Amino acid sequence: MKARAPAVLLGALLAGVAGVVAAPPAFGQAWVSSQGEGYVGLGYLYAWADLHLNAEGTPQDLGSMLSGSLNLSGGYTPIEHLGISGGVTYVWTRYDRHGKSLAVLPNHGPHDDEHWHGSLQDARLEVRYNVLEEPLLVTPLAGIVVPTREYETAGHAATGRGFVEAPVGLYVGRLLDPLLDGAWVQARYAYSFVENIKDNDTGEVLNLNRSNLDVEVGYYVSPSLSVRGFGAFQWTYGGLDVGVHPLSAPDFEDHDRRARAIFQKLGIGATYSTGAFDFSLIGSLTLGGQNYVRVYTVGAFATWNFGRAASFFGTKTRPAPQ
Amino acid sequence: MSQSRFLAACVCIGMLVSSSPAPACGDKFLLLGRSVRYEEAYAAKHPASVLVYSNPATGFSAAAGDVTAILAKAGHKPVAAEERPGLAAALKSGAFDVVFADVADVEAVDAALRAAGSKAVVLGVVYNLTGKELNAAEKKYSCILNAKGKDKHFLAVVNEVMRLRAKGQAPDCKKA
Repeated sequence: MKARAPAVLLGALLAGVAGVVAAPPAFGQAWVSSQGEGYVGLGYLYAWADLHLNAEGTPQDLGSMLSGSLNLSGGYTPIEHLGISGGVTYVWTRYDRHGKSLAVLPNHGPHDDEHWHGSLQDARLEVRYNVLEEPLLVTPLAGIVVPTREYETAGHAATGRGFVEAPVGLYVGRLLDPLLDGAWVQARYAYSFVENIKDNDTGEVLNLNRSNLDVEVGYYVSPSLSVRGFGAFQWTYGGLDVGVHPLSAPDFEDHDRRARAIFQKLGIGATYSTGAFDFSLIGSLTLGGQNYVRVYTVGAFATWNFGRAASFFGTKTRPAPQ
Repeated sequence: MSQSRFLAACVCIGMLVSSSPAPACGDKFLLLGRSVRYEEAYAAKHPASVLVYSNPATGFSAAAGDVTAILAKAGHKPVAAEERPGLAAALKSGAFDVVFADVADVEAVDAALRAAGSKAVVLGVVYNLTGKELNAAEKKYSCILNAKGKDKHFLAVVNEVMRLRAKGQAPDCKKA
């Protein structure tokens, strides 16, 4: 089944749905760059989901889902305290039946043929505005996520869920000095309003709105090198429970996007900065979940910083008068 | 209906006939985000006017350039000065909140500040000292930074100095 064409993009923006939600666990920052600073980033993430988690959180071996995603992103601070960031993702997916037959593990989407399928996925935009710096950084956010095209939403190897989503929430963060110089902590809470979709069986509108909480703790080993650990947690307030009771035919094919997905993930990352460029590595695993999968991810991300950030190792200081 | 959708529908029907529960596949993607950049995290909430004094005869001169660049990046206003004539000229040219100097130069810098009527806080930097030299410096001064040790996050120290100054206070840098 294909996602609905997103002609709503312009409309949503014009309607003032400020900012984008960074999709399921996306992560921005409580800190907003100085006016005139910005970045362009390119990242690649490989994800390997080896188990399905049913509505009770019980793991089920129903084949593996492999995916690679290329994410082009950028951000800019046009006025002090206001950060705008956005991005678009291209996704490759493949279902691996673990050598089992179609009779044992049947497809439930057109991409479940054990071949790679690539597609442009979602575009996202997020606006943050820092309202408080001390004793805690407080930065409200608003955003929008829009499918870029009618991509595949059904099956193990679906490209994505194909929903227009509008997250609103808050970042909070602070440095941990004087307790621990060079360390920081931040959290992002977002409530996402998700496009309405009906239960094909009952006709009832499903509430797929959800909350995401992302928490990060980091440490600057040096001004150029930082390490971090993070957790990503999601609760979906409605939707279908799957993997326990058989779904009726109308719901079966496209049930994934209707699922009441809940998960808990942990990850680690490191970033090396040359000033003009940042290079990051990241990895995560799924601790648990319901109506979800156990997924492992590894990724690399590079950003080019412009504006004041690019002169980190430059000689911008004025010499003393002689 | 396309062939692929027809096949998918057949499979779905087949699964229903066998009463297999639908598996959850979900959204597996994790978006990559930037890390918090050092200069963003330590962007000066109270920008300080900082004099970075480097004496070519002392160790800090090797790190003074990086320190100056990082201070500037964080939003402070650093001025670089070399040797005594440069120090005197810089102190005549404006007021400073903080002075970075090698710990071996702290007394001379203190004297120059007193002569210029400056109330700047002097942060002595130790760089490549032996353990014995470091112990001696720590016995003599409170406000010292170890450029290769736990005090490398000197922006946090500058922020703390400025926070105190905003309250009309100053760190006590002299030991009895």
